Amino acid sequence: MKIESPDLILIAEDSPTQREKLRHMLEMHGFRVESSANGKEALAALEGKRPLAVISDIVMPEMNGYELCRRIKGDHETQTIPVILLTSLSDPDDVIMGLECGADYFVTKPYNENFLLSRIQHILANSNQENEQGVRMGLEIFFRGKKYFINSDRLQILNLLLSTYETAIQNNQELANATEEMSVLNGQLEENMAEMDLKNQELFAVNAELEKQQKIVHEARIQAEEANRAKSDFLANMSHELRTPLNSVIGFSEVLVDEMFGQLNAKQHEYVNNILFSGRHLLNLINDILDLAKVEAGKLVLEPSTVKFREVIAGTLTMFQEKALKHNLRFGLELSADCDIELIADERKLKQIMFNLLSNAVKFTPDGGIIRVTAQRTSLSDMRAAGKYLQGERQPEAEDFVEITVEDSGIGIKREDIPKLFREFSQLDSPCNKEYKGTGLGLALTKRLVELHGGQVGVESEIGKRSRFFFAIPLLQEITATGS
Amino acid sequence: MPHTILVVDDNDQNRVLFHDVLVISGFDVLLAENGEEAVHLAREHHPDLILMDIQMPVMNGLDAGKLLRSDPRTKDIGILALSCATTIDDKDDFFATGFDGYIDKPIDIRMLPNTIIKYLASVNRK
Ligand SMILES: Nc1ncnc2c1ncn2[C@@H]1O[C@H](COP(=O)(O)OP(=O)(O)OP(=O)(O)O)[C@@H](O)[C@H]1O
Ligand SMILES: [Mg+2]
Repeated sequence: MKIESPDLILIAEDSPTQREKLRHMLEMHGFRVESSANGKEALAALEGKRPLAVISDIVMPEMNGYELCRRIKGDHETQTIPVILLTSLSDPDDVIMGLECGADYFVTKPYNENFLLSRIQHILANSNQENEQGVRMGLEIFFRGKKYFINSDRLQILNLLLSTYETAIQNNQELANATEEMSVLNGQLEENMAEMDLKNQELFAVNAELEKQQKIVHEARIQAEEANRAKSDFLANMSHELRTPLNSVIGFSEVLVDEMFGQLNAKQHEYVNNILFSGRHLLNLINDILDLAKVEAGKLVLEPSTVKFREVIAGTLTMFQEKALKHNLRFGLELSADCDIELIADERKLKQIMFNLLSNAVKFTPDGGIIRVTAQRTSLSDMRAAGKYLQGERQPEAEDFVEITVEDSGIGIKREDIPKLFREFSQLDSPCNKEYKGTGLGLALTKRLVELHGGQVGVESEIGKRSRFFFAIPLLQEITATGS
Repeated sequence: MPHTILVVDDNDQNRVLFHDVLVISGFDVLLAENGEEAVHLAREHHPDLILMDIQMPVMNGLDAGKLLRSDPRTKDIGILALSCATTIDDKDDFFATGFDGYIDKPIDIRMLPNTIIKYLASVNRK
């Protein structure tokens, strides 16, 4: 005889988490729970007991839910214990199989707690009446080519059908809920869309504003470029206008100094010499301005020829011999053996570069100092690695370079002043003002002339000790016209 | 017999300077203020050499050069441009026009007589 346990529920479920969840839920509602991991265990657990109900999963190892149910219903000792199958009921086969095995209730998985509890309440409420008067049906059903024999009583069938119905209702309810949620979401979506629209419109406005700004900037740039060109043209013209009378001044002075038209006394000679010196200086300045304007207007082009490197460098040094003597400056020239070369360059501009660097060295080195010119071969990768060159507007394209350094033992340059050096009209405060102040164009032009050659310039200095200006020009350089 | 040099320059002082230096160096000198005058003088006097400035009012040096070259009376006269042009293009223009060479400004006035003598010698040898 079985011991009635009206508050005991037996669970057959192979997933430990599902099992625990179910147990927890049932215990929370005042039931005692005994659980087993498959049908076999559940059968064993039923020995000598009569629980209120068995809740069983379907797919389990060893013995599945249908089989468990079939065994319970096949044993007259246990056949009245209500069996609740946790099934998906998604397939008519599930219903048939359920009927066939004689299950009393179906609860869809994943189950709704309330729904499962309501099943159990239902069992509790009906536990007294339904048992004995069951009328066996004994039905043979063909379904999908298979024969099933259904042995359930009417109540079971009714319950089962109700379960399906309830499941359908539940599904429907869920569907309705989902639809509701959907419509809420839809509403939100629409709101979001409206917001998006607004944002879009804002973006559109911002974009339009941006485009307007861009246009303004573009126009401003064109204007600036035009202004720049006008400035360059103006400078070029001015320079021409200035040079013409200046050439007269120089020409007449030269003729006088040469005493082509008669002797001068010492005073006259000195004065005319002064006129000539100042005239030439002024002419140099004007030429620099003209050259700069031309570089800017893209009008200065290289006139390359084969240049005997050593001769040109040595030649520019001799131009300063007189000054060196006067100021007791020592000159040194060191060209490495591999610099005894001919290279393709614009000789006049190369001389101009050297002239600018040497005149600075002479200008900014106190009497008794040393000025050294060195030259050596180098390569683009070495130049890059050394990292001492200024980045120009154009990247050098050649690989082989010759590097010329003009080093002096002069006043040096403050670190913070170095970036200013190569700008036009930039002159640093210096106490050294031997002959005359320049205009601050020398280095600006030098940089441009070097870059026109496809090279780079750079400077290193120690304030009060030395300055080292260097430039590198490609050994072999294609003859390309710049500008236009 | 001394060589005759026609100097064409719109700058008064330059003309004076050229004149004085060339005369003292033993040349006969003709002066013109612009290209048009230069063409007239060249046709009339057939100088041995013309020193031609480029930027001038009335008629510039390039146009004058073209006229001189297209006229049988003047097409054999040597013409040197006095130029302060530094671009290749401009110099190509000189040669395209039929100039025989150019002297870069600023002109070293002390070297000018020598330059002219050298040029005339090279023409005579041909
Ligand atoms: N070797 C040097 N030693 C110390 N300072 C230098 C040296 N070279 C240039 N500088 C500084 O850089 C400034 C700019 O030089 P840059 O040659 O451009 O102009 P400048 O010599 O003053 O005038 P310009 O060359 O136009 O006659 C100089 O005024 C000077 O202050
Ligand atoms: Mg300088």
